Amino acid sequence: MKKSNNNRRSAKKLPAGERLKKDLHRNWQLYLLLIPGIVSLILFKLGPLGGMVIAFEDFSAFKGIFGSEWVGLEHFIQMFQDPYMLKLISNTVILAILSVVCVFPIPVLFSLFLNEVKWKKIRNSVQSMSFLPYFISAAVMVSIMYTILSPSSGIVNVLINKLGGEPVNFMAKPEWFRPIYVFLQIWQTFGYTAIIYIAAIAGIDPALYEAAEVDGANRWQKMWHVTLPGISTSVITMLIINIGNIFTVDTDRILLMYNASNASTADVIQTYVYRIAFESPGFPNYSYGTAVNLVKSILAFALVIIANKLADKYAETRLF
Amino acid sequence: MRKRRAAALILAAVMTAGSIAGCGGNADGGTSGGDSAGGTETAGGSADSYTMFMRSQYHDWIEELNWYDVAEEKTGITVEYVDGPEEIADTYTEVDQRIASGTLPDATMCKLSQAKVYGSQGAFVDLAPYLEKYAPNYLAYIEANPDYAAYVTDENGAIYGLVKESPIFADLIGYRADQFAEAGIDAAAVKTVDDFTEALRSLKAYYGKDNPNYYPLSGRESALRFAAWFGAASYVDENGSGGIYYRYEKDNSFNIKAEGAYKWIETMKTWYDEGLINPSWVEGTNGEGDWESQMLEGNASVFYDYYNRAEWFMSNGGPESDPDYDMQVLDFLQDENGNVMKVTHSLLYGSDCCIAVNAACDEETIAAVLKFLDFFYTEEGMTLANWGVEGESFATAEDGSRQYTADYTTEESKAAGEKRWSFLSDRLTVCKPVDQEAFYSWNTDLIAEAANRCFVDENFLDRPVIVYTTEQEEQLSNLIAAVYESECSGLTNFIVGNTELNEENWNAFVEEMDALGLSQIEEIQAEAYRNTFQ
Repeated sequence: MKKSNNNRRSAKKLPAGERLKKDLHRNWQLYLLLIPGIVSLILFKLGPLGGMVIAFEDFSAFKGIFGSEWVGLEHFIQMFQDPYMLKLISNTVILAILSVVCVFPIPVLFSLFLNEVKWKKIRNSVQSMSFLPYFISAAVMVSIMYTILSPSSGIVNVLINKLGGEPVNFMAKPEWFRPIYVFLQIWQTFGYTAIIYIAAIAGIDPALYEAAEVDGANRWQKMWHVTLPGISTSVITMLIINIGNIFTVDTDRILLMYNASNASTADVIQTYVYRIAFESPGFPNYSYGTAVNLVKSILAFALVIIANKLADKYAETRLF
Repeated sequence: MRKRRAAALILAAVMTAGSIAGCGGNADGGTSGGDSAGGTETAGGSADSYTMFMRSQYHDWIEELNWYDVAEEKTGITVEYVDGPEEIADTYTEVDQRIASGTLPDATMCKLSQAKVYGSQGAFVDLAPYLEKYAPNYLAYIEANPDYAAYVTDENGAIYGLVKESPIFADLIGYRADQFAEAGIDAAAVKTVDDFTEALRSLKAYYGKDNPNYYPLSGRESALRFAAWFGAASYVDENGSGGIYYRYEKDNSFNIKAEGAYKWIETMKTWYDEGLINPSWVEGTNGEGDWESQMLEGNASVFYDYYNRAEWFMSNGGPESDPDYDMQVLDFLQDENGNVMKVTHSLLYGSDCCIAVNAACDEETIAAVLKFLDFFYTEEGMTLANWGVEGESFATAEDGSRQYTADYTTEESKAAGEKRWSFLSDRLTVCKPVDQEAFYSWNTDLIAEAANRCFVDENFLDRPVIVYTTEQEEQLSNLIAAVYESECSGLTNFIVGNTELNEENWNAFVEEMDALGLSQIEEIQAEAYRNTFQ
């Protein structure tokens, strides 16, 4: 142990360049395997970020990024002067907050309770079935919802009818848009997201449970005092990632659920940008769409930084 | 150890190659290359063929046309189509992508705005000088139609894209004549909106008493299509503009500031409250399939939709589901004074379905494109595209009039992909003038009669073709993206009762729309009208 500490101290004394060289020499196979990931990250994640510059241009696909006319903050000014933007932001934020508040805890709870199922076969079957909806497309999920909630033949309205009520066209009610959206989000993602927590639970030292049992803890107490703290790092990490995606609503799902009746709650930044950039009868305005998305990304980035700081301060865990 | 190192090396190499495999690009830059390799270059040598980017569905339909094969034979020019997406909006997006990646074929289908903007930047050929050289008949048509010339020519006199002529038609009111008779309704007596509402009430009372899913009036997409019946369609003329005219010249055309607009929504609310109109349709959740099922299964009796839909129901299961099934077409409705309530109709020229030529093409390829299009502006070409081949698809009577000898139903019911005579002009095949008489005649007797009866000038509102500048189009597109959705949402909320319909709320709604940009839209439209015609 002493020798090891001495070695670490002598390694620290080496200059950074030397240390890196030594490390590269020692672990070259690992670094080699890292190259594809780095290349992919640069090409498909970092590189395209440069394209955001079109938010400051009047972008023309023919002239390209370097040839298009530079217009500075024109699109951003236009965006902040747009009287409709306030409503779009409000709809987007409400939907996103609901998604985080309602959707986020479900997989955590699910994994905690699934962990308590004694029979392995049942546990595995439930887990497999729970993440199946993740692989079903948004179009299919929404049409299932339309069928279930159909005012004439949907099972929900048939029940309402049987109970003496009047049928409700849930898919056309502005007040029902958000609950249905959140329900679909939970249905589609909870099983898949739970895999992360289930994996984290599997990594908890069994000795901790044994010690808790010796101390007389019941199952609820073990769940609360052993399992939950054991996965808290994963939970906080996922929470920070979720906050980063707070403005990223599922555009496909919204477009499929969107109609004239629920537009007052369903119209969000993404649907508006989609109309301007891709459904425009005139010349497509990609620059304005990018400007709106850039502002959205900056706000999301700021939220991630804040959430990371808060997590570090109050839970002594952070993402970066 | 060596094996492990070798495996790491190979794995890393494969993964890196995989990562960059999708990053291929066209080193040429410009707009040539890619799919045009077999077109521009080949055509450069022979000029007997060129490549063209086209919406895949339109290409599929072209492949079925007998007369198109004859045209290729007559001109000696073959078009090699490069399939785009199935959806039209995606097709235009792919034009942008192809321009950006330099993979645009020799010619392309695009929006007129794309042709004008990219053309002025150098992506498309200015066809004006070449028309004189290679397309004298097309040029004669342009000169004879100054509104067409104004529409396709940009502010510098260049023509970067050519648009097709479109048939003039409006939506028609289809109804189940058998159900009307059974319910004791005299269709000929349905003259006004009030008569229409009464007919719906009679139908509801008769068929709805045992069927809770029966709503006499149904449809697809937006139900906000009855404004013209109340004199509340959007417009633009020398006195100004009302409502959103740009993009909504025919369908979903309304002007909430018109005198009849309140009455329109009030009437629709009555229909909704009394169960005379399918509530899902009003609420925006009645898909095309739902509507078709309702009409075929007897859960609806009346619609106001595309001109040939009455025939569609007759030949797509109506009589099979009910032997008495008989779909007919009502006259357009009248006001209290017996004057027809004029309806909106399609425009003669539209900004969609424009043809532009890649600037990277050599002159021989440009000539091939224009010579091919020019053929359709000759007498021979016009006859071929509108009537087909004499003796095979039509015959000429002694008085010089023509009649189809090919049977509409037989030809149009052929399986997809099978060759046929077809003269439907509601899509892009080539730029060509439309013979309205031929267009109306190429239908079953039911629709041909209805079209000839209803599609007369006296029944149509004035729908001028307006030339917008690129800047105006950009402003309008941005404003409409917010205003139109809000208008539809607000009007629907009035009809379904989410917002109480009273004068105070109505005025507040109009003010809100103005604040969102409706009045600005109207100003831009009026200005564009003045620029076009004054």
